[in-house]
Amino acid sequence: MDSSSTDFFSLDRVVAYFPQILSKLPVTLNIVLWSLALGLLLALVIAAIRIFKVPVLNQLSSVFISFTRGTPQIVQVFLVFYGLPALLSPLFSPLGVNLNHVDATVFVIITFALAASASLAVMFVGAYQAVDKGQVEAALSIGMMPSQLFRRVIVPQALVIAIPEFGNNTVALLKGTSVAFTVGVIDMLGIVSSIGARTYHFLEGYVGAAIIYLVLCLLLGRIFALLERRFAIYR
Amino acid sequence: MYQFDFSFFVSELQVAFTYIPVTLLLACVPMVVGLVIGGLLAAVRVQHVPIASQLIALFVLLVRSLPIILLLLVSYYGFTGGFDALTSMLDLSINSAQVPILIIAIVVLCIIAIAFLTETMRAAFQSVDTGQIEAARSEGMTVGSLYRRVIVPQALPMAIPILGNVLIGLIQGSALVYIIGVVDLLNATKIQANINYRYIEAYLAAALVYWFLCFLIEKASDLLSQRVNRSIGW
Repeated sequence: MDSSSTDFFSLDRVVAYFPQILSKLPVTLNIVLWSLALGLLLALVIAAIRIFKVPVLNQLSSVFISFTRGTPQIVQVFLVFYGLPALLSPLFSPLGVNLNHVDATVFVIITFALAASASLAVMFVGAYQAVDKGQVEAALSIGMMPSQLFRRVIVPQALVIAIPEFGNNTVALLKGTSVAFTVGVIDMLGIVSSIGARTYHFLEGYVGAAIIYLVLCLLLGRIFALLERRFAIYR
Repeated sequence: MYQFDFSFFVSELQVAFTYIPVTLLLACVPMVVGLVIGGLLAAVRVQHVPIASQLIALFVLLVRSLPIILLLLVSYYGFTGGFDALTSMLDLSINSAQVPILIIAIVVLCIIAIAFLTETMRAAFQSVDTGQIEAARSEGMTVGSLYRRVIVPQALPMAIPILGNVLIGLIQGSALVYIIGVVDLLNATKIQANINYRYIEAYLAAALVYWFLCFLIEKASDLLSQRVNRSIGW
């Protein structure tokens, strides 16, 4: 009987590996923030297409939203990671850019920005529709321009209505981006794999990463709860 | 220009279709287990049973705050390591490699389903009119028959659309089990992709089959909730 098999977990190793894992937190946050920022921009465009029922684009947006909601995110990551370079290389190779050498992080950000844009667009449309229609009629009857109505009546209320769902989306995004290491991004889980490959101890690294994810999720939940309470007066 | 291999794409579609039962097993067993145990835990939460209620809240928070892939990895390494440590301590001649990974994956997905469905069922139970609950209690109904006869029959139909979403979430979450080596819909297509060095065809096929499955579940839950609501008369 060898001692290595009974030595499958030690708190000392959790502590020893923790700083290395924490040092990769910026990689995770970088992916989340870029995905969220790009996703929000795209979501505004998609929401506008859906609210104003722009022909063709509206139908395309339905298919896009259905696809992102109907397929696992890991499959979306694989599709973008392998598919996008093949799809775009005719455009980029004349410029001397080899897309196969682009950092995997870029493809992960593109995937999650697209996925986030779909759910955020649905959120925006829902929030827009939740604004009381009587107010819209009132604003128009006192002679407000449609752009004023949009800026002064609808947007301020819709944003407040959207806060809880935006919080849920952000937490889901944080959790979802944990699959980035499967295409080679050295984020928190990526570094655990390389620690494990070196030491044959994976469990302690994953426990360390779990602690960081737990703290982040609780923190985000608290921040959005505070925001919700802060802006509740505008409802 | 990328040469799309259409015949390989079709063969991957066939592979994906033949592995639908594995993915359904990985999603439906946790769904049923989650509904039963999650329903019970939700009732404990709604009845404010001291200590148990807080422990359940902590469990739900913990599971819902962690990425599924991380829960799978921690459980896999924790279970296999712990199992081997135990059997070598007891001088047993079995090891964790003899435990099917599919079972580990199903257990982890069950735990996730229980956490999510506890929250879902709690919200559903609380949406039942309190006047009816008071009436039932004043008639002398026990808590058990209150749930069986008043709360569950009304809460369950109301929760159908959300339950459909939970099942879709479980189907999509189950795609992550390839990370611990389970051969499911995604992993089966992935294995062929690795052999043939053709990834786009493989993942496109997998994506389409997942999309088809989720679409069916969504339509089924829409139909079911319409029918149930009509028969109840809402």
